[in-house]
Order: sequence, then C-alpha cells, then structure tokens
Amino acid sequence: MKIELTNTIDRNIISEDISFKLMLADGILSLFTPLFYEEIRKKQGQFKRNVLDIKQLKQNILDAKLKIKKLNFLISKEKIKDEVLNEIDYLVGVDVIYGSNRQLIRNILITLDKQTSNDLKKNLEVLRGIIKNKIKNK
Amino acid sequence: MSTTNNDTVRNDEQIKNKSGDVNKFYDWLKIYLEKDKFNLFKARSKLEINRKIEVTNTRIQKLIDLKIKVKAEIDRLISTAKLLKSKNFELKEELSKKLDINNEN
Repeated sequence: MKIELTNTIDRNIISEDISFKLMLADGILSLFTPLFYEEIRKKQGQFKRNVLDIKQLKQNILDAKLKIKKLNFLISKEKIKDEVLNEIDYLVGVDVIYGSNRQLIRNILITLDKQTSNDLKKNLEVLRGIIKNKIKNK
Repeated sequence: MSTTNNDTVRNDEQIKNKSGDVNKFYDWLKIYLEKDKFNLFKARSKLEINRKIEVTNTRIQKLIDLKIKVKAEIDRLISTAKLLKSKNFELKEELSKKLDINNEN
C-alpha cells in the first residue's frame, strides 16, 4: 500500500502501523460521509415526493372512476328513454292515439326527463303491452 | 558474522510479517470500502432508497397510464351521453309536435 504525503498530514506521524492506517481511514471517512448523507437525504426527499404523487394520482383515478360510474348510469337511463321514445314513435306511426293511451303517452313525454330509471322501465313495459294488444287486435 | 546474518534474517522476517499485516489491512479496507460492510457510506441505505424510488417511479408511471386511459374513457362516455341526449331530445320534440302535446292543458 502506497502512502502519499499531503500538506495536512505531518510527515512525522506517517508510518506503516495499522493504528496510523485506521486513523487515516477514519479521517477520510469523517471527511466524506456527510456527502453520502446529503445524497441519501436528497433521495429520501424524492421518495417522499413520489409517495405524495402516488397518493394524488390514486385520488384522481378514484374520482375519475366515480365519474365513469355516473356517466354509465346516465347513458343507461338515456338508452331506456330512447327505447321509450321509439315505442311511442312506433305507436304514433301505426295508429291514431286517443283516450287513455294518448293521456299516458302525453304524461310520459312531459315527465320524460324527470323520471327515474325504474319509472322509465315501467312505462316501457306498459307501452310494449299496448303495442302487443294492438298487434293482437289487428 | 553469524550473528549479523541472523539479525538480517530476523529483520527480513519482521519486515515480511509487517508487510503481510499491511497487505491484510489493505484487503480488509478494500472490502470495507467496496462493500460498505458497516454502512458508513450509506451504500445499503442508498441501495434501499434507490430501490424504493425505482418501485415508486414504476408505480407512478402505471398510475399515469391508467389516468390517461380513464380520461379517454370519460371523454368517450361524455360524447356517447351527449349524442344520446341530443337524439332523444329531437325525437321527443318531434313526437310532442306530432301529438300536439305542447298545446294541450
């Protein structure tokens, strides 16, 4: 092992002794370890920021999933509305609507946007029943 | 003469032993520094934190990809909902006109 002289080390204390090597190694370590700590501290900061980012992203995705759920519900309702309107369109196309049927269709059209999915489904069944009867009676 | 020779041999032996000690110490120090056996250079901590950062970076990338997919799905659903609403509104207006519902009580 080659020993190099520096200005900071007294020429007289340099020796081949283990104790001197240990002292030298200890000096070097104490000089450089703060640099390693600093790097670790920086990395820990980055890790903390990553954890926060993950938390934020998870929340964003959760919110988006709720939005998808709401949109799917809205679309399913619009699809039932579409079916109801198509049945009414069929009825209006094949016959003159009058009496209780006319009143029913009128009520359905007026309250169409306020009806719940269940109400829309019930009305759809009623309209299909009317169509079946009309087909039977023909 | 013999004594001098013996002294020289002893000195050589001592130097050899000393040199052996230094080499042993050097080997030990090399391992000590390279493997950071006592974590003085925080090599293990550094490895661990690097692994954690790598894992979280991968997780972030996956979440970003998922967020992009979810956003695209939301856009698609909004477009479908708008289309259906507009179609239903037009059909409802048309039927109301046909049945003259707006003019009834």
